[in-house]
Amino acid sequence: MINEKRVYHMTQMARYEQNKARHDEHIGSYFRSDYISGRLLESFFCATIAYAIILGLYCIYHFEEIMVTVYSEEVMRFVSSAVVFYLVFTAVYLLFTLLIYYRRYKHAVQDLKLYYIALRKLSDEYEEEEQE
Amino acid sequence: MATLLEFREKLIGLFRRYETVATIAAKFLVTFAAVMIINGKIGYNETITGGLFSLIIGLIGAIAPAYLTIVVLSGVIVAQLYDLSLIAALVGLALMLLLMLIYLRFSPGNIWLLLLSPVLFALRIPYLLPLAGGLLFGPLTVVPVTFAVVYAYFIRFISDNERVLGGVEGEEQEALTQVQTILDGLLKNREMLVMIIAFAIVLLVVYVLRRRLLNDSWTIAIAAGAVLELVVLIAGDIAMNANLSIVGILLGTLVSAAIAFGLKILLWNLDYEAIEDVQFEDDDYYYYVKAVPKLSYTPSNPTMRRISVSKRKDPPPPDAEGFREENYGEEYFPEGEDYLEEDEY
Repeated sequence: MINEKRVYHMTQMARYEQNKARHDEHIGSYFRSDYISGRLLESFFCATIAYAIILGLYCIYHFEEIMVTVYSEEVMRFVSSAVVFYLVFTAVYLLFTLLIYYRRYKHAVQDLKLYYIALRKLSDEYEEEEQE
Repeated sequence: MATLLEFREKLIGLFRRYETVATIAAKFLVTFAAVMIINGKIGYNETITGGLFSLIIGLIGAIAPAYLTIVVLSGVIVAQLYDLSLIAALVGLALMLLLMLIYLRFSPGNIWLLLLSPVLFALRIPYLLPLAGGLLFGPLTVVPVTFAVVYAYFIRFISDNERVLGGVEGEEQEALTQVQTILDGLLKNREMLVMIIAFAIVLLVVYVLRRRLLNDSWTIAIAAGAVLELVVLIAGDIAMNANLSIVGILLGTLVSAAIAFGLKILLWNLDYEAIEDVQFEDDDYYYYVKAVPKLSYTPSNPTMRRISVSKRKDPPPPDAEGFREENYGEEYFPEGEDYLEEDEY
């Protein structure tokens, strides 16, 4: 006699195993702080490279004005403005990274937990049937 | 409505039956169409513009994840631009790197909007981007939609100014001037700026409205999004003198709203007339729950056809299940004779 409810749950578990489990297990293998700090470090480098590209394009676009600035006394003001924009850009980008990966870690761990609970429940049911 | 539901059920059933093939075919068609459109606009390299190369890119798009397909398409754009002008290729590469560094590294699910954008721009319905983005994804979809608009106008600018950028004799530009020309074409493009602002506002409004606990929230979101898109684009056109085509905006927005409504029927079909409000509690919380049933298609009763049973020469024995003596006439039981002897019962 087929237990339809069990078949349904097992199907859901198999679908999870096929689609998301590997990705979630990879995330779940880290401590939360390690996972997020690793992603923040990656984002720091990406933000730095992206800002360098944007700054390069800006300098080329305003080349003549920047040349005048370089040969005047306002070069430090330009450099300090560039540094401030870099810090703001990086801070905003890191904040978004933190929010995105915090949420991903939370969902991955929750889904894994539900999966393992379902797996244990299935195992207990089989043991009870064997004892009967 | 019943016809639409029936069509929806048939479409979903067909897709479920051939899901793998349909997904691969859809990805191939979208990638192939995007490559053909890009090559049509900036097809400066004969090898890359060829049909075989486009087919190969389409096959890559059919099996690769979406972010890899975007990288490949960006590579095609850069390779095409390299044949025209090194500077244009470098600016295109800079845009591609910015997209990858700022957004693609998160492997977002909404990247398919970026892949569909060349097709939507070619069909003159880019106004579907914010409507679909707000209905199907989250507020961060503003980023790929913005990149889609920037890429589209970048390609259009290159295509319109290929003589100047390609260094036709007598019209050569210095490298620095070329970069400034290309960046001017993007940063001072009022049409592009109005589109970016309008799409961002519409996407956020559609997202907020469809998540509200309102009856028919999706319909309200689509209608409000379409009207807001028209208003913001027309207002932006007037304020910034962007030279947008009002008729084009009107028709494009109407078609986009119709497609968005089709998406709603396919993905979010609820019966708001049969809402149930229930309340219950557990140890920790008191729950107020609004249950909205999904609209389902009930097939009409199948037609019944009576099949007459021809008279049998040998009737079944009297103790057979369902045997009824009155069903068998005198020819089966001639007078004076029993069908079966007593000891044969």
